[in-house]
Amino acid sequence: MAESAVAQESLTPEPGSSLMRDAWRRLRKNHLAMVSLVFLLCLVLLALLTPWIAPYEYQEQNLLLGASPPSSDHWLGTDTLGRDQFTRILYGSRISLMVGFIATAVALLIGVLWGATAGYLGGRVDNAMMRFVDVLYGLPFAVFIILLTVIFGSSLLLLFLVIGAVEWLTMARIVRGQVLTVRRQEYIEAAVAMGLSSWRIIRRHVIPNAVGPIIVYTTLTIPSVILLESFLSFLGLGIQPPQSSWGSLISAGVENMELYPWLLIYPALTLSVTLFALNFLGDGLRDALDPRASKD
Amino acid sequence: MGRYLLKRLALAIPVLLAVVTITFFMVRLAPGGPFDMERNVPAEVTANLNAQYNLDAPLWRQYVDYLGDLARGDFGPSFRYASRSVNEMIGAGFPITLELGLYAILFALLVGMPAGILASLRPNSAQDYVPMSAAMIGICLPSFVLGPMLILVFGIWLGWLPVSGWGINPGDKVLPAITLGSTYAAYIARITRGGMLDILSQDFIRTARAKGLSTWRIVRVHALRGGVAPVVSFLGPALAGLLAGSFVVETIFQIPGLGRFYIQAAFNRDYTMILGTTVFLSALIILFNLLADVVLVWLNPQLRKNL
Amino acid sequence: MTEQQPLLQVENLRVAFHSRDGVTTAVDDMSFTLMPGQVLGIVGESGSGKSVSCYSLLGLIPCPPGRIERGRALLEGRDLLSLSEHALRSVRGRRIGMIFQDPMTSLNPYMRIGEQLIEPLREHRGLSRKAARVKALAMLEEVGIQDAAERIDAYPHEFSGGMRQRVMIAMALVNEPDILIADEPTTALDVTVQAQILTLIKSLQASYGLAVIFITHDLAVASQMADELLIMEKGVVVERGTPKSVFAAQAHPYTRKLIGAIPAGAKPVPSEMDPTDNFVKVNHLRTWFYPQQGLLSPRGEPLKAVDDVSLEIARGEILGLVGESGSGKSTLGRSMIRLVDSQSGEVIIDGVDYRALPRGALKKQRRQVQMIFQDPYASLNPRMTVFDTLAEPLRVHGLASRKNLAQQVNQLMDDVGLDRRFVRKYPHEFSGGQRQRIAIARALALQPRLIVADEPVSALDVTIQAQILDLLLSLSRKHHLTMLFISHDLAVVRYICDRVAVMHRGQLVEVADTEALFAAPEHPYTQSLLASIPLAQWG
Repeated sequence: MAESAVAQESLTPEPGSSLMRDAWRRLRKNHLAMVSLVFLLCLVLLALLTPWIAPYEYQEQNLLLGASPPSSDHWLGTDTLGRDQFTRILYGSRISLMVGFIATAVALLIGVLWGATAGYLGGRVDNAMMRFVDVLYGLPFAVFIILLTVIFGSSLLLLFLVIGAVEWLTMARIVRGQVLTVRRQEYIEAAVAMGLSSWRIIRRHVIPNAVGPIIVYTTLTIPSVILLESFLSFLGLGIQPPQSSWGSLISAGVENMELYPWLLIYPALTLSVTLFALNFLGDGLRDALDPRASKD
Repeated sequence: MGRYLLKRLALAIPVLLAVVTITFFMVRLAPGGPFDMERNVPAEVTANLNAQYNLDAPLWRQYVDYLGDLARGDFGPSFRYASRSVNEMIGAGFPITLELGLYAILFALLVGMPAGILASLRPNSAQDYVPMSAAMIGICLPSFVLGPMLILVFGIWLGWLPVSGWGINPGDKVLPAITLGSTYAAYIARITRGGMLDILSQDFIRTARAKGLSTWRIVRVHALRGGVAPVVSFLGPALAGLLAGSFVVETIFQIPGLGRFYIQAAFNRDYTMILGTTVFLSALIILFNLLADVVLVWLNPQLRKNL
Repeated sequence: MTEQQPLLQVENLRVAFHSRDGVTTAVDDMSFTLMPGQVLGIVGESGSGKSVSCYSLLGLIPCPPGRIERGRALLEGRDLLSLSEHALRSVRGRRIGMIFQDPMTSLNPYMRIGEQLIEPLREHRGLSRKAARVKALAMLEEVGIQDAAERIDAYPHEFSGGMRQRVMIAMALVNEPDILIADEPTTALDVTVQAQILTLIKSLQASYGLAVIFITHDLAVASQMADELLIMEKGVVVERGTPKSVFAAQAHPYTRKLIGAIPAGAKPVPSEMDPTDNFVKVNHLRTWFYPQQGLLSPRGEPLKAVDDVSLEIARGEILGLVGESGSGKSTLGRSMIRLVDSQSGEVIIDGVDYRALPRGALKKQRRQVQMIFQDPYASLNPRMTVFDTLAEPLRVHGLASRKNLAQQVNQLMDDVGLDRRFVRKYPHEFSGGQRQRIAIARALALQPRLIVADEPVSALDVTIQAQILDLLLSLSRKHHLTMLFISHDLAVVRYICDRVAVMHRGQLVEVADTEALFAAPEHPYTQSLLASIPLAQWG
């Protein structure tokens, strides 16, 4: 671009290209991430519509049939009680995705509040708050979650809260780091020098610039939450029958895997492919939002 | 060195105390007593049991007594198995869990670090994509999926390796260690790659190349020390995850380790066992994080004077 | 030099970078010869290909995306460009040594400097650890490291910037190479340290009979150091010759532009000011920083960034504040306008005591005083268009109605010489100089009376720097601005300022009229500072 430009009369402004639009363009070029996004959207849609589209009821047993391999009646076969595997995976998706999204939202809420406060206030407050996070980081949370489910019994609400309470730690660290980095930028100083209010600075200057990594990490938190829920359900400490989640379906599949391998393979496949998609999308977002990849 | 360690240890003690306190009261205040399951038990028997387990004392007294016992390294008796103490069960299970965890971490490091280093040397080439895709698969195949799959393939269909037990049949430690270690191998590969890429883009690597050093020497002498720092800081918290993973692996492969005891205790509502194991594992993990931090500080000469 | 064989002969070198957006030619058709003992200066601005050309000789550019497309580089009959990586290694560090711009990052922070020094000796000559250490020690002494016997076991972070560059030089020369490639070796250093390092390179060059390729953006430094100059623009050598002949000929327009851009001599026109009207008065200002410690640890020793500083700036004056890195000049500027909290003292701007203002009143008062920052990449919010950036202060202070907002923003664009069509664009779509223009427009939006400019041109290329300096001068005249101009570059300060204050370790050591200060500096620190300015020597 020419360094000095001649002022010209009444020319229409050229459209700019914002970082977000650039990011979206880069993401669209990433085929793996786009395929993942489409897959996830379909999965969410299926989960939402499950009660209307599922071919059977999830608790509907057919003891005469028992465990049967995939067929035209039962696309993914039936379990030992003759329940339709496809239906149960669909219902399991509802639970697993719900836990994934809600617990991530809990983690996001706590993490952003905690991290942003620490990062914005700085100094000793920051020091104390982050030391607290460090301490919690070093505790065996899986052990505590099991302890809590033993004491309070396992319920969906408990799962949301407990998993959210575990996953917020990294979020808080990332948010704090982002806020600290942004706060040190000279455009924040410039905003202060212009006499802008703190609230306006936070809203217009800090948040928009801190949000990229938070989006990325949120995307990557969802799979780890889903994994945690599946882990608990696999151990029999999460979702209780007759409800099913991917973890409990896999657990049931393991018991019978020698005779009826399809009971293990399909839920395991669903879980793994979903985790793949979420991770690929997260990685794709990271690449797309990475400022180093932008021009200059 | 001594001062830093002492300072960190002094910080660890209140944390541990908080863990003990919270866990203790949570367990004690949980709805339902430990002997509720035995129906039609005469009141005297319950009273006797309560006396035997020190449950008739006021709560604060129980707490103080428990702290005193802990200080002497005594986790108390098991509620479920009257004849066994928590110490005995930890003593029986922990060495097995430790051995399993050790093999898993070893497997993870031996596979993950070289893969990560290789990938970082030629980013965005096949040498990068192949190990990183494998790492992605490792992350998306949790132990409770991978374990059964391995059993199905190598244990049942091919019949190469035993599918359960620990130290009974030759080779029965292979599948559990791989199952537990693979996720960590995947994470370590990704973290190593990231750390190495970071270091390899530094100016001092260009200096080393300008000196005419070989790639191998640059990696080994100049890059590795800084490049492994993220792996070390990952290993501390990873241990907590590894323990959780060992619950699953021990359940799948029927290994009589601490994790399996813990899950059984959870199902049996064996409160003292849960309490004792939680405290024990917390102490262990706090210790490990401390170790990781010390190694991290030691690796960085700019911080080393703080030791 | 009678019929000597050239040491290095580069012919028709062409290097390109291949990316998704296409092919960029970084170096095109470059040829030069380097004789033994000759110093060749390669001068150019950022992106001119001056560094890439030398890095590609040693295979140090990343391939891909870089690719050497054509050319030969003969070192004693061997073509460096066609050597295998293995064969190149015996050239790097053995026949050709290199030093780099930033000695902070160019030494391995994880290794003792001794280990780093003996490495090339052991690698190339197979010396024993002990013999290599003896040699390394001698080399350290030669580059002027005091107590070398003890310092050899220290880590890089235990040295100052200048000492680190000495260690780098020792490392590059420890194998007694024939050629030293110095890539902007003094750009990251303070001016007094720069002078010492340049002297050291010269004396080592003479005593070793080294051939040196000296890469720099600074024509003055290059003219001091080099026997022959290559001027590069956009990958092409546009002019070559001895400094004397280049200066005499100035055959290529770019050379003329480059030489013309060096701020030389006094301020063209003095500011219109009233020396009796002190617009700014700073009395005994003190800003100390306490190192952040643990939660309960006691306060450590404070860093006295600004220690009892008093100064005045007359209405309409441009006061220069000079000092080296860490002298506290930036902190002083920021303390004056309360971007940094100070501990005691008074700052009176246009009759208002800034330090005593309550927060709300301060926010209103801030429009009187604006700041321009060093880094035009960091000082603009990357997620706001130019329009939003310029409109925000106007809206917040209610200086524009909805109707004439666009009109005012356009006016600002015209003021700083930016095309109005670019108002909808985002900062990353502009070059460095254009961004600095946007930042200046933002500062002007509030029609301030005082501007604090913190190194506003030091991140810019010299030709751009000249444009921005002239812009600042004309704007200050047009809007009757008072300005505090903070800079480490004395030539720039001389060109733009009416008076100069010299800062050293948190205190002002001398304040004087610009020309008086340059003619007869009183304080010894000012004297050493002035003596270190690299002056162009055209033979």
